[in-house]
Amino acid sequence: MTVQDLEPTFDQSDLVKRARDGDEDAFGAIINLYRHRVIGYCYRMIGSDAEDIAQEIFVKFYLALYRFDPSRPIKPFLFRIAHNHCVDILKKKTIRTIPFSKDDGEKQELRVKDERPNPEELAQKAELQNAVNHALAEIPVLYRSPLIMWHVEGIPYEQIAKILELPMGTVKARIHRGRKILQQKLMSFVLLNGE
Amino acid sequence: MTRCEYIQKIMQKVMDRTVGDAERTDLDQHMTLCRTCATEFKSLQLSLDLLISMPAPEPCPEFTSETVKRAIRAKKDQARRQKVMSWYLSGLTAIISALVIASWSMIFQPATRVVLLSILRTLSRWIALYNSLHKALSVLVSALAYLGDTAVKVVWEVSSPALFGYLIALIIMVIFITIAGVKSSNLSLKRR
Repeated sequence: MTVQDLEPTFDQSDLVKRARDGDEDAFGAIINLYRHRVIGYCYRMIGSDAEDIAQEIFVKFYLALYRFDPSRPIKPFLFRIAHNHCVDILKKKTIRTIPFSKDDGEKQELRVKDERPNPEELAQKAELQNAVNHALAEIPVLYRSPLIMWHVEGIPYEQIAKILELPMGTVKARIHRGRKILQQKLMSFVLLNGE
Repeated sequence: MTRCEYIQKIMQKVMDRTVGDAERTDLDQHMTLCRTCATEFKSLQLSLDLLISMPAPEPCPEFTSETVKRAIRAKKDQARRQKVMSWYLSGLTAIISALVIASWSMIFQPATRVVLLSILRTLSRWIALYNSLHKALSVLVSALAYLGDTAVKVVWEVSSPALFGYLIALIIMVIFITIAGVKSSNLSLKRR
């Protein structure tokens, strides 16, 4: 099951209205619906402290609810906040590409170890994880963000264009460019493991 | 456009999720014949599969409750900040209004009016004094100038021919005396 399968299909306007009126349960329900997506996006964008960053994004979302039209879908609005927040963090770090910390890799490895006891498989998975992490970190943010939104989050081009405030042609071009960079970075690894 | 370029375009459409059935068939057929395109497509798909299947950290069980608490706290902080700001603004407005009203009413107070009028009177007196002094000095200066002018004119008109005659007579006398002196010194040298 991918994250896209978790897309809520019911009407969320009621949840938004209740959350806006101060209903903590309604806001909690919204968080539960989108937390995996937001954490995943932050993890792919920044690489570390994804959970903390996701919390900050939800807080910003809550503070901005008063200007959100409940009849509109939550996802584009939430991802707009998430994108701007991640870009701000990356700007503050003043580096174009973010090295994923070793700690995260170790944590991830430990987490995988708990799930799968086979050491060989574990090592291969960790190596794979590391390769993707480094490849992602080397994609410039302006290509990385739309690439994740399109391929991982399944957000349509029109919505990505609105989120990023860019023409749709530019969004498509950036996704294409990001894909090419990802492919180049993972080429050797993919060929080695894909044969 | 070569066949491989056409297939590249189809690969792009596959990634954009806009590929048609006929194009998909073309792609599959071409990949059985062209190893380069097949490798290209396979690597692209595998790269994206890796990206999509990349496991993100699982949120901790308290993630939702902690986030809700944090958000509510942030909202309270925001409300408090807004309240403090509104107090500041109200205070500032009140101070400015009080200052304006106080200064306005001071102008129209009888005591203030008396003080202001006395200041104005003093100033006008000083100005009047200055004007009268200035006038007096101007008269004096013009009188002196007039007197000076008149004196020069009188001297010049009355005595200038006589002075001119005296001056010429003086010059002639100096010339004669000089010539006489030079001749007498020559005679004394000859005698020696």
